[in-house]
Amino acid sequence: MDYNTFNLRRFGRFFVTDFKTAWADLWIKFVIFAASGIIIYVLTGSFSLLLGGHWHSMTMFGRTLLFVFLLVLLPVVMSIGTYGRLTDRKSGSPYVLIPASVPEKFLSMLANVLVVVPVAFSVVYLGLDWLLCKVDGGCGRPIAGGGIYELVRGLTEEISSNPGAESLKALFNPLLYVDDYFGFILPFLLGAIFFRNGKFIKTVGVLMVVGMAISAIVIPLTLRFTDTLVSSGSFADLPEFLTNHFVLMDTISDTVVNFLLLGGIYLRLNTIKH
Amino acid sequence: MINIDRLSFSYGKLPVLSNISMDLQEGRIYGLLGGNGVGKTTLLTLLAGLKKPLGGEILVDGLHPYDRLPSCLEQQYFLPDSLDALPMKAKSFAGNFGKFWNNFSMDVFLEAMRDFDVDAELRMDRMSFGQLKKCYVSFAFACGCKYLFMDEPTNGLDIPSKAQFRKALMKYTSEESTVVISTHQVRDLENVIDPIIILDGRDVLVNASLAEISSKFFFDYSNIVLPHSLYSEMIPGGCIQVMLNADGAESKVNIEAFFNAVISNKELVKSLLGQDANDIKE
Repeated sequence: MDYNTFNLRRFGRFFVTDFKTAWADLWIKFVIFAASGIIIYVLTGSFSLLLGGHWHSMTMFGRTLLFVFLLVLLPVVMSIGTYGRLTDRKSGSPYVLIPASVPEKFLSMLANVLVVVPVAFSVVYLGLDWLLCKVDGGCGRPIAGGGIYELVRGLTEEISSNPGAESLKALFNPLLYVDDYFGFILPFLLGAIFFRNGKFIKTVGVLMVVGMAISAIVIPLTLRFTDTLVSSGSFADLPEFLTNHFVLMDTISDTVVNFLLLGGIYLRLNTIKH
Repeated sequence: MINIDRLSFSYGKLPVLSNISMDLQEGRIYGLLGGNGVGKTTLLTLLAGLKKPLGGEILVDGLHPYDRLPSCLEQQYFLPDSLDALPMKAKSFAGNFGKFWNNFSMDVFLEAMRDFDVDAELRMDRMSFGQLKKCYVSFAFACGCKYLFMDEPTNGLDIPSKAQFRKALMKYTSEESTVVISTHQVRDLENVIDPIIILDGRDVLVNASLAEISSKFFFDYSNIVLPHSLYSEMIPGGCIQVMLNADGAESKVNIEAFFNAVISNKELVKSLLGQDANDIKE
């Protein structure tokens, strides 16, 4: 590949430098996020002991919910805190002028926000959760010790055991939510490098406006579609049709949205001015 | 070589640079002078590729800086006037970022830091403004770039450091380097910068070497006030006056006095040294 477009060695160097710089900025937040499972577990248990006289803290379900919430929140915080600086002349100019190509900077940014930090966070959080459950027998099964798998399997079996709901089983495939995960973080990464200030609020605002605009288009179309089905007498097939095609439709729509967001991030990186 | 051809730039409807053309040669340390808001920093950021020209073009060795190609960025370093303190040691910063410039030398960085009396093991976010500036200046020299653009590099430096900066500039920039320094502190760099570029009202009033300036203007340091001077200023022990050099007499250029003479005699100076004169020569 052309030296000015992509050079693997230079990309490796840039990725390491980018990660080190991000880590220098992020590590305190990372530690707090990763330890928050234990902190909240101990706090709720202590309150329970003080007020109720017995130790009772978060269940595996609660700890899992917290894990998922933080797994989404940390990359958002990183996007705004670390890469949000690109819009600031003082911090952004040196980054823009580092001799590396835009594709290299783009890939490094995505790798850090979407892969390295979430994976590192998961390993540390789940490791601490495992340790917690070793120390406190009342904690239940650790999330990474098969607990989350059992939770999902139980939920899936319960739902899909209902007559006519077998096809809903497909909704509990965890891989289905990987693109949703990216689709939640990418708008904030784009907002971080697009808006000069009020990055989080403005991104949420834009998401709301876009959501309303899409609803305004999609809802009339859906109603028209269902009307057509009702008038043609095939309305009874609708739930089956939707559930059978949900995975495909969801994947296609998420992929399109994610590619649009990636395109926006690349374009912004390529044209940012100071 | 840097070719600037009919370059224009504006912020919204406010024009800053209009139809500017000039060439910046290798092996020179250009002093970019001008009043507040005339576009010095804008010109430097355009040269560095941080902004896109709205008209005309800039070519750095045949490449457009705004394309920000690695092969172009490797050849240059831009030192802005205000700097960000990264949460890491100065030495780590240099090690992390220096590897992107082919000619980067950690030895030069550490030597320059020692010369500036700043500990390279100090965290950047615990440095004073002056120390941080010295750190970035040291890094700029250590990159060994062909093109070095510096915006007010002596701002925030203490008196010994200003002298150190001049020494370092001469020591660490190669003979092939083109250095462009924007400054209001002309006395800090008086014996270093040559040629001089003076921007004013979106235009280049002067782009001339000190020898050219000296051949056209005479700088009188006597006590007698001369009636035909273009500019005169009382200084302790006498006065300094700038006059047309009709008989080719030699004198030492005082850049600050020359700048003031230019500002109050724009058309005359431009016709003698500016773009019009260059066009005539060509």
